[in-house]
Amino acid sequence: MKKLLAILLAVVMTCTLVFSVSAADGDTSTAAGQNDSHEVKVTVNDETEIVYNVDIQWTGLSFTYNYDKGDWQSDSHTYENESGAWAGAALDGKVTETIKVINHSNAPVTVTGAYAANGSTGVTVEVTVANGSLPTAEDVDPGNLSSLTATVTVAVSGEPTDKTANNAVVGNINITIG
Amino acid sequence: MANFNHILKTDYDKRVKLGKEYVFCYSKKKIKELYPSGAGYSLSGEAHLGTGKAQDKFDEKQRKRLERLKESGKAHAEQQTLKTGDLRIGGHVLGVYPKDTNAGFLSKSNGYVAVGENQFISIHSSRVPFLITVGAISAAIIAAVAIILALITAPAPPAPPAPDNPLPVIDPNVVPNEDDTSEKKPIDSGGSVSLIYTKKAELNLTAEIAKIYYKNPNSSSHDTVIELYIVSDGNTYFLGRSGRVPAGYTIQELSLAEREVELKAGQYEGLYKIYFYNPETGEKAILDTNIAGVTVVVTE
Repeated sequence: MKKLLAILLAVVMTCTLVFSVSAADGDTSTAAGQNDSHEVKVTVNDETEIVYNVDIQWTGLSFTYNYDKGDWQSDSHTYENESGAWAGAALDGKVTETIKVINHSNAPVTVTGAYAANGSTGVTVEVTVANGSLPTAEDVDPGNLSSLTATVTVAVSGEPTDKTANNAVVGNINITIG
Repeated sequence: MANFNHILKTDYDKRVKLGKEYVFCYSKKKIKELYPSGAGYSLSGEAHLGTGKAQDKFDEKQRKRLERLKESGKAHAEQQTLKTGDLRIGGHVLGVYPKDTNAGFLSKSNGYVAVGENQFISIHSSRVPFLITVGAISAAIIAAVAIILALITAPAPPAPPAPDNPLPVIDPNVVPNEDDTSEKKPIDSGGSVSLIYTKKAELNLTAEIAKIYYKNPNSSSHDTVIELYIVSDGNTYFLGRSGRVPAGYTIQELSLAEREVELKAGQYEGLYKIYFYNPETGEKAILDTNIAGVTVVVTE
């Protein structure tokens, strides 16, 4: 009797299992022992806020214009052979410094640069950005950051109108991280 | 020389100190009451209130005065002393001198003692000690007033010169970074900063507070100040500004009290502006940074 009851119980449990799987898929098969596969879909909503980590490194951004007013001519009361050049300038007459922006975040960032002049100073400043679209730092070797580094180049040219300026601030550099 | 004795009267109205004792006498007012017309009594001379050395000193002064009179020829040929007698008062003997011997501002009449019927001797004392005391007190008062006036009217000390680059005040809401073991980078001639932030700001209009997250790690060479803006149609609208966030600190709250735009509940595009300050010189770097694409969620 006990054996019969145990067998009956096992059959009932098996049928129950069959019915559970079938109900999810709408399958009406109730035969025990039948193989059936269904996709189980799981969705994970990750609402963790991204904490960005970006380094910015810059040099002095200070430029010197060497000016020589020339030779004094006592007969004409003027100077002759006036000259001037930016210290460290290249052949094109421009002197440059760079700003590095390094993305250590687990999300990509974009880097752009701009210059805002403080009025008319005679000094021309150009800001250009190389490699401004920085990928996520996930899986990037911390010892090789070149792919995560944007280089902002500040090129200065022109001639200051104020020849007596000393540490005059001619403008501001702005880096925008998006 | 005559000898005079102090006669006690029941109607003496004044007492003067002679040594350790008191001498009773008439005041000037009493004499005028007794002799309203000024006649009917005589002054036999005047005596100087002083005992022991004080009396000797006065007598010595009179002797020198006699010498001066003799030298000037104003003294009588046989005159040896100015003194005309002695007045006995209690156990003291005072020299009696002619009337007006002590005339002058430096001497004052203290009273009149009776030495006979309608006969009096005027007793005097020097005003010099009193004048010295008054002079000293007056000088002290004048000096004190002068000092007080000088202090009141003294120009305020010059204010200390203001620094060329005053550092912004540290924001009261900053908190130290936990477990921040990063090493501080030297400034040299430029800077090296790390910006650690989230791109979400939650504004509570009722509390006028924006919840943000900005961390300035200890390794940063500069302190920072953060401003929050709304971006709309290419324009930026100021919402709030932090105080200084030093390297090694985090800020998670901005006040909206000075916002220049009113908002309704909802979501907006925002922008952070970050400025860098040299903590040693206070100089603001000529490089600043914008963080674009900030999500601003506004609730009432």
